[in-house]
Amino acid sequence: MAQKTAKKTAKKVVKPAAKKAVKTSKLVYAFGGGRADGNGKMKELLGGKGANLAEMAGQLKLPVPPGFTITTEVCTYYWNNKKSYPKTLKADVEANLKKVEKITKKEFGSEKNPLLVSVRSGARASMPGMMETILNIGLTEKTIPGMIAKTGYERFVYDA
Amino acid sequence: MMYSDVVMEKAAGIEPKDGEGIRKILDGKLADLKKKLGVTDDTAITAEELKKLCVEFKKTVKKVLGKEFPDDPSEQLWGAIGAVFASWNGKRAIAYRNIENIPHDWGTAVNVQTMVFGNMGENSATGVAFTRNPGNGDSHFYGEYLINAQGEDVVAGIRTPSPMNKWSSNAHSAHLPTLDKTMPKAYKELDAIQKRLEKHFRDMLDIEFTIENGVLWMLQCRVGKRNGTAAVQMALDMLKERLINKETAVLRVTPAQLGELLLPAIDPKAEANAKPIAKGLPAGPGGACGVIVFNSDDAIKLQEAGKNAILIREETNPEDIEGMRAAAGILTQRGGMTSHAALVARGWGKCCIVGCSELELDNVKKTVKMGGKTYKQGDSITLNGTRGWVYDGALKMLEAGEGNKNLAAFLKLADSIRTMKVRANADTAEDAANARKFGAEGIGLFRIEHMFYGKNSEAPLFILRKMILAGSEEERKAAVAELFPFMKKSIKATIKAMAPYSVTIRLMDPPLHEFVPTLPAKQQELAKALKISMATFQERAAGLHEVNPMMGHRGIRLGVTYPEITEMQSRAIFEAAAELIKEGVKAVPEVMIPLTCDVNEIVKQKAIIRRVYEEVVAKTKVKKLNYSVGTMIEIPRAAVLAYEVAGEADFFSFGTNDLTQMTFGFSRDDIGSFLPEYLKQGILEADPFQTLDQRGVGMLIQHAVTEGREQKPNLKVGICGEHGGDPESVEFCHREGFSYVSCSAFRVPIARLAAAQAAAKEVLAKKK
Repeated sequence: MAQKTAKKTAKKVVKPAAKKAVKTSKLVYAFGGGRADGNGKMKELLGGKGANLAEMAGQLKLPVPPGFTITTEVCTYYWNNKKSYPKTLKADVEANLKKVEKITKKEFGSEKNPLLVSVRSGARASMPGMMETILNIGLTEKTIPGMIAKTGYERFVYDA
Repeated sequence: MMYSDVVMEKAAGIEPKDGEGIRKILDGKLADLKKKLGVTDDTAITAEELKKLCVEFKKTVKKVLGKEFPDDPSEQLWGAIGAVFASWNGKRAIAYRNIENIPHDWGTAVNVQTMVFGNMGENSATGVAFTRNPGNGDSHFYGEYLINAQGEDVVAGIRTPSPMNKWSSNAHSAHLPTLDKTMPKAYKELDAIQKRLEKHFRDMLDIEFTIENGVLWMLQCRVGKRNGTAAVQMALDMLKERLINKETAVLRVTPAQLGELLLPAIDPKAEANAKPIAKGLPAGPGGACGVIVFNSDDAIKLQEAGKNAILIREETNPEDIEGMRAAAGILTQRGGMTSHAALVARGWGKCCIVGCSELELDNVKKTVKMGGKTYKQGDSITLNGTRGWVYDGALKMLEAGEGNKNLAAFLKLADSIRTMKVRANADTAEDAANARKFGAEGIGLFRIEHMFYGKNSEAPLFILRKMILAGSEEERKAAVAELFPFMKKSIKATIKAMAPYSVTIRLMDPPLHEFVPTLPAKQQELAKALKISMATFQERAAGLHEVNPMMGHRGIRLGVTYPEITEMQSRAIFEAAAELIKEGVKAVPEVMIPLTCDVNEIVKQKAIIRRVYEEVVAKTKVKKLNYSVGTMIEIPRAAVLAYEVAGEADFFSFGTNDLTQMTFGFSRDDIGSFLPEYLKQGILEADPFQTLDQRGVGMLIQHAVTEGREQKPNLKVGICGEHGGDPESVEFCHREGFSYVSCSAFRVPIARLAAAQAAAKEVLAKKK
């Protein structure tokens, strides 16, 4: 009896950090426009930030700028596969970008009404400032005039 | 600017020299332009000038990085996604995970989100807020914002943010306009949202928001970091508000946060007489006193030398993380309550003052001017992180914790949940009294030999030495008899100080040669008292020498070879108890036998103890003198044979220091030469002397408890090694059904919380 329980504990602790197999599950989760694919409980997959954005957008229907979360499993894949992505990721990102365009009525790369996005990290635990954040993706020479026309505020566009 | 730095430089693995990164270069160009135009604020630059600057930037990027700035949005997007994934294994991210014990295989997600702009003019703003004050726990919406700015600006600490409302205002921001006044509609909406969020998540949240042309957008919410004072306040408040149950409330304060409330603080008397030389924002609590350093490397060097460093920076950035960790306190010139330094310090409970704008910092000369005086590296200053005040020199520090009503209330709550008792290791009446202040419910380890160390040990130590170096049994017995009154007095005082709680008295443990004097003068004095020549003295001392003393003639082995020593100790214990009972003090001594390896050792010692007990009862005529005899379990053989051992022992107390030492075969005093390598190579996950090795040593403990209780179902089980105050180990003890843990007095509150959290987790798991 004693040995049995002892073994059980040992097993639980010995277990090495499991190497996640590449699952063919959903790679991208959309949020915004009053709905979300994920929710606040999915921190392992969506990271703390992504899960809470989904919770705010989907469950609480708060005003969250629409977007999507690429899962932590893609990060694992990236590092296990010489910094490459699962094959379907490109199509998934494009499809989700379309969804965002539809909600915002803006277009990524459009000259007249360009959509700009931010790209941020989000791990399961908060790591403030430890990883990268890139803002204003989609701002190019072509889209700059569109942004100025849209905002009517030239200074602001160049400020970015 | 950001894209070239993060995606084109860092993610491409380019590591420029300090001050030569693309961002620094571009920043320099921006600064030059501002100088040329005679403006100080970014917002004062005209669109036309900015446009020119953009062209200039692009040219520079190409020149420095040898690559065009990508003008294709899709290329930009994938570049950015790759940069984020790559940054998971960046140097500073790895360093942070090592410090915070975050597994390296978790990975990060990437969030791609529509940009909203807080820098679209005077009708736009951005901010960071907390549903309650993270610095003191007040139940008011708390935060900072900047008009016409992007989120980065608030956290970066470049512009001083304005307070959200009156509750967020401090001495530095009192003159700035609050959000509820400048944008009442958006504020009202935000306030309603933060209330909903807190109800929904049932915890204090950290919120990031942006107002774009008057429209409010929520950019992020997460459970907010808070310091220990705030954590305790919020746990108590939210319980009162019925937002959470008592188990959750107890789990809301980590042992480290509780530790902050027990942190050193400046002695209020010393502080009252000192004048602050500078004032900043109180970002991290407690007091810190140390010498000034100006960079992280120096802070680390000082810590390695065992000294306290106060790290002074213009502002901190993630590269400073290890130096911030090493410093006793952090002082920055710029940044608000949500700046990097403040966030990190708050998370660690480290004393920190930010936004101390009156500092005149010279990083090249390594000097700082405060209050009209110039300080250089190595000068002492003292910080009060709770107030945000800086003092000249080293002020007197205090151990805090006493007189804190919230702390007392919270620990009372913890006590109502925990099922395991918490005792202290204490060797004197003073220790015992101190341990009771921290809430100890008894002494789990009273080391009888302690009276031969430290204060007032001269007289008994001299007699002990006579005993050790005695030439005959007669001589030894005479010395033992001389020693008796000292021992009785010490035991009596300690039991009295801890009454009515129990005291576990461990019989003599250390190897005797430890007490042989090494100073020639002391040796001569002792030889004279023993009436022997120095040559004889040296001969006898040499006879006590052991090759491997920790596994030599010590513990119960002393009692086996010198039964008169056990006899004298037993008599001291029982006479002390009998006298206390006569005085009306409750005294039920628990006699503990150290270093047992076989049940027969206990049988022999118990016979002596029993005989002395009967003699004492006959002599003192005290009727209700009760006692128990138990054993330490610190030799693996005793743990393996626990079923037999429990037949003769009333209690087990796991001495996890020795048990770890002997299970691993690691000499605790010699691990320095190899353990660091074991940790580096990942052979062992943690130092087993710091964190109980649950797999190996833990399995022995589990076996011993199960077997021991099979023999004797009501067997009392405790732990008295260093691990008794380690939260993880305490949780292990709870799971294994221990009766109590015993640790040093100042760890008692931590152990009380850890025991309560272990019980609370069990209750919550059942509810699910």
